[in-house]
Amino acid sequence: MEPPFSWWNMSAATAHTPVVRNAKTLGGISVAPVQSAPFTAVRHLDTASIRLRFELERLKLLRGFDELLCLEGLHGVEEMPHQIDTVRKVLRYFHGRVLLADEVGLGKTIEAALLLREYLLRGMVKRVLILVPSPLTGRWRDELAGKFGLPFDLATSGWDSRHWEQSERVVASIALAKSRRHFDLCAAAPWDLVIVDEAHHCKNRDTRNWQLVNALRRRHIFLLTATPVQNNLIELYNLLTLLEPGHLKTEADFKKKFVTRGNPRDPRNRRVLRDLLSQVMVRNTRSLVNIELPRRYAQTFAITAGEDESRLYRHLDSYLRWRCRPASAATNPVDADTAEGLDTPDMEPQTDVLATIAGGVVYHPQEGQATVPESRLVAMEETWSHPPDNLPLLHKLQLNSILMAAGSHPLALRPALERLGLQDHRAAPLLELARGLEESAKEKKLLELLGKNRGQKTLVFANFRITLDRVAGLLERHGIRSVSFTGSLSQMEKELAIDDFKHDAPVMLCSDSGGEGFNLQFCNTLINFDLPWNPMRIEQRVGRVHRIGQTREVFVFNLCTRGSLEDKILTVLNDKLRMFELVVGEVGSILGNTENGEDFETLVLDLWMKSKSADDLDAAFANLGDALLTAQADYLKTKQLDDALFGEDYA
Amino acid sequence: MSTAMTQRLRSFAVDLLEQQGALLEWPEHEESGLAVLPRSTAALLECPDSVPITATPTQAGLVVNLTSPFLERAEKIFPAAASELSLKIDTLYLKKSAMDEPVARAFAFPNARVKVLGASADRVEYHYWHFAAMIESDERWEDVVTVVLNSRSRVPLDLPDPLNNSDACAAVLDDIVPDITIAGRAAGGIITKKSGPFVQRLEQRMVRDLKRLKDYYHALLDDASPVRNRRVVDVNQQESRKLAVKLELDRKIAELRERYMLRPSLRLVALVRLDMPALAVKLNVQRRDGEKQITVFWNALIKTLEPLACDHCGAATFSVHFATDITTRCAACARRED
Ligand SMILES: [Zn+2]
Repeated sequence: MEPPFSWWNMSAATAHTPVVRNAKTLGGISVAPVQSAPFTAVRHLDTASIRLRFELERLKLLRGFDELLCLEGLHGVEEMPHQIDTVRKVLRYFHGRVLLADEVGLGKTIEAALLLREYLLRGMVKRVLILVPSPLTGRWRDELAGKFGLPFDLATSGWDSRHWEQSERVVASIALAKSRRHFDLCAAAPWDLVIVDEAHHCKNRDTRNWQLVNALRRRHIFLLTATPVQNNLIELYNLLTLLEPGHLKTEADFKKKFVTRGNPRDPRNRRVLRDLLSQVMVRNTRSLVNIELPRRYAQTFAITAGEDESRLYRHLDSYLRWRCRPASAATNPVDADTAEGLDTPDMEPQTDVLATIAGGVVYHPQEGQATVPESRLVAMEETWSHPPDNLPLLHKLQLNSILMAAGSHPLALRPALERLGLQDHRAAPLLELARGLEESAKEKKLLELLGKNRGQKTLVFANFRITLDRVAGLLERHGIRSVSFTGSLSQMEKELAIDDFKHDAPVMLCSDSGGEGFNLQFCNTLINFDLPWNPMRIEQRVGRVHRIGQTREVFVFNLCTRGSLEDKILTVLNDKLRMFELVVGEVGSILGNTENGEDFETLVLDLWMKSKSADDLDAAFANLGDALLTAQADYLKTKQLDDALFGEDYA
Repeated sequence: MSTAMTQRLRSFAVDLLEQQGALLEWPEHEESGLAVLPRSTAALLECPDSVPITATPTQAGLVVNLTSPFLERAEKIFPAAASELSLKIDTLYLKKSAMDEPVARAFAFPNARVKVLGASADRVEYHYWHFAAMIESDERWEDVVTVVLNSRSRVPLDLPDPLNNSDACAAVLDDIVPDITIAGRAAGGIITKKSGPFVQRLEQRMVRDLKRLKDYYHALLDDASPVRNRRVVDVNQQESRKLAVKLELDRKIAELRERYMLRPSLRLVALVRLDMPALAVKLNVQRRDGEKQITVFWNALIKTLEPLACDHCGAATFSVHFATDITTRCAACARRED
């Protein structure tokens, strides 16, 4: 039979040149020249080899989208069935243009990263741009590299057109990309795939956020948000218009057809609207994917520190405040991102940063030393009448680490104090005080809790390696076997540790990054010996055991020193937000509703720095609590709107 | 993955590795086994010399699975360029009787007088071109395409695979430069046909998307017009708004066309040359004042006369028209030239 008109007619190319034909149009679709490698058949193979060669080609063809390539070679990613389904759906039916609007905590980011990996592995995209809120840039970059094996460049303010053109995989903060200097550069570069995280920041057409995403040249685009509508339906309209202009017609058409007159939050013609939405968005909900987790309970113990421990914290606080007092009113402590030689904290930063600060000082503990008399500490404080003008200002990262170490264990403070002591002899009494302290008041409570939980598996978290080591020794002295699990273990060591915990050791001591990617649902009790300031990281800790596959109720115990920053943070998060009763991910959504809330850690530090006294700080935390309550109310309103729009049956 | 698929992959891996000199201990129907690989093979597969071999993706070792990097790495075992294999069949039965009647029955020559001059035993090289074809667009289409050409008449044929013919054995053939252009053109015809539904689907989607875009932006333009929008008073402002909308529409349309553009590519995987006996039938063609002798072949594998190739498009045809210079035309090309 005659072939139909062949758009693939190759021109007279000789056998040894690439076969190329001019572009041509087929029924409106343009056709690029046929790309073909030059003909150089060299090897004279035998029949068996050539058979294998053909089979190899055929096998490669069999990999439709049913066989996902992205699931191989991941590190510490526990993908869930609904995420895999979503990846397939987006590949097959959405052609890589989709609003991923899973309910919080269902892992949109993992879906997006898996899709990204699939497209890259299949060679279907090359140039990728990921736009995220500033505080999340480092995290995206690190997780893509660490867990998905996908290195990305982080766009910086110094980038010029060459960077934007040549860098093939870019993570950029949306604030940077939309800035006067970068908007056009970013929009001019053609992207095969654009991912916009927290896409609700683009809900308003009049903002530069929306205009930037609209201006981008892209073939595929994923918009990620758990809250596609926050205040009114036009926000959803705007997001979907970014995705597929015209899918919901014009704004006027959309309003007329789908918005109740006089109430911009009330959808009309819901069935039709849902049908339209289902063509461009995926929304997995907890009830839909059937993951209702058992309840979790949290209890916080604010422990009164012993006399020396309290004195240490009290005087340290005064000292640090003094060191932050600017010599002239114009200067402030150095911002983290301008400090040189230090990484911004992210995945497992505190310990690293602390090591940098400790700067290789060798510490020789002087056991049994007498405590430092109060008079010396008072004398120390008396030398502070002047600003510390001959000393470098502590930058935020240093402050953050020292304050967090203080919240962990006196031993964790020592390296930082040694470093301070080298800079400033006036800090010496603090170091001496710390050196005289071997134990923390929290230890007794820990032992008590473990005693009560005998026969059960317990996960104990701490930020600092020194603290973990101390606790390990403590437990050993009390005849409690424990196994340590930190990010520095090799894969094999990790597996052995988990195995030991599962079958033998009643306690596993874990650093923050610990346990990710491993099944720990056999354990249902978790003790936070210290506390990350970032609620998302607290949530991650809890999420190690409170996750799919957990069949029992989960118990979380938080230990903190009474009056400490951690105490105040927990009070706000627990008493105001009732954080431990929220569903995983909701904290993030609520914080996202507050100004700078996504960067809670910095917020806490700012509160500390701006306050002049303990009362001052309490008042500041009270305000923070109120702000969080407002944010929570906003979140609940959004959720109602959401339910009205998508209902429970939306798929 | 289905069991059949697992088995197929497994036997591919076993054959390939054993051919490379590996020692395998992987009983059939067992999930895993052990492989001892030659150093060079291990290096290509990025695994240790002595390694567990398994079909299960979650296990450690050399994972033989569609989703594992095994296939990509295995490809490196083969030379980067296409492979070439030369085969020969020494003897085959050739038709002995007169060819006048078979030619008359097989061919139609609507615009020339054609006479059979005679037939003689000959040897002809057949070229089996194996291509991997891909069309990238908003979606991707892939297939393996084989084109078989009679290297003398250059006609594309449908012949049985010589790899399954026990009479075909390895040979050293004369150096000739095989014509990939003709093979590529024939492959293009096959690909066009095979990818038809795919291209059609894309076309429908593009038409739909284009209409949606245009409707949307035209509605925006209407909104910007003074009749519809009384708030916009300033004429300049109106004009610049309209211009901005138009520019954006142009940009989105260009983006859409780019998205749906068909980007075909063709990669030669292997060329198998088969030299075998054939019966060459000489024909005399007379058209108007011109006269020319051409050859058709009786194929000993399919025991039938081969069609002729259209000198214009390369297609195989039994309904042979002739142009004024007595070059061949298929029916379609002849119609087009009329
Ligand atoms: Zn023709």
